[in-house]
Amino acid sequence: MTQFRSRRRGGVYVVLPPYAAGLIANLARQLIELLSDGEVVQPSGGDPLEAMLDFDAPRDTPDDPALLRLLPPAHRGDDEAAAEFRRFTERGLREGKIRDARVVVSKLEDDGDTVPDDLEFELDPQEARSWMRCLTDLRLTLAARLGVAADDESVWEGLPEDDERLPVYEIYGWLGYLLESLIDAVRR
Amino acid sequence: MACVTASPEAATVERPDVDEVVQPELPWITLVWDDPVNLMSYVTFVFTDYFHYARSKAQKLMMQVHTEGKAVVSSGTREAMERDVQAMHAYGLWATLEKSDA
Repeated sequence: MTQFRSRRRGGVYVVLPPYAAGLIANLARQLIELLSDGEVVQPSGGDPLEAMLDFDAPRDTPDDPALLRLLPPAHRGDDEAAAEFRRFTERGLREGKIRDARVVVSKLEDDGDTVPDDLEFELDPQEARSWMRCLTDLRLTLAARLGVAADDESVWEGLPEDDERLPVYEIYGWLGYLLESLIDAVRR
Repeated sequence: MACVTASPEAATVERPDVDEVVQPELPWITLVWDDPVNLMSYVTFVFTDYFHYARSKAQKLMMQVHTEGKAVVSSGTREAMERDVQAMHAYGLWATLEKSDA
């Protein structure tokens, strides 16, 4: 059974059934791919410092609705300011989210055995926050893919059982439950 | 916010040079916008965790976002607001910065 339990000094003890661990790891890896978006995060050739300082690299607003929500504009009604902000900050934002997702994946891959037992591990306060942010990013991504809108629960509840979006919507809801439990454990 | 005032105790009364009068810079503000995904508990947590607001203040701001569609969560220099917006985006909230009209 999935559990998030408070530990001293703001840590969290986590228990995850194998299906849950596998699913979260899978989603987090996909998120890393999405955020890497064909970008060379580690430059293979040329001067890495120069690549980092490439502020002139065009930073268009993402077309992908999930990416757009993960990397939203910082200015309303001022496209130039928004583009400028994006040029300077988008890379750092992507990298931060990838770091958080890597924290999640590394905890779930720690167990070298393939024994189908519950996975148990502890998160320190910083790791717990990486988990919260990654779970949030996963929810934002799934919601963008599904087209979730405000107060639309009745729409989803009214869908026929075989609607192919329902399993994804259920995962989206389940991630929300996980996040809620994690927040409770950190706050205590 | 600093403003320039003449001290009544000044020994010499000088005629101020209009060109030297400093316009106090309008403060900038960070707005957090409502979205259909983020949990109320998470938004409250982010406000306590990043801004170190007391829980009551964090909850009040969260409810404002929830019911009014947006809330001003911080104010200050442009640079400080840019940092706050980046932090909000890292947490998955949607925030924007703008000049305060006040």
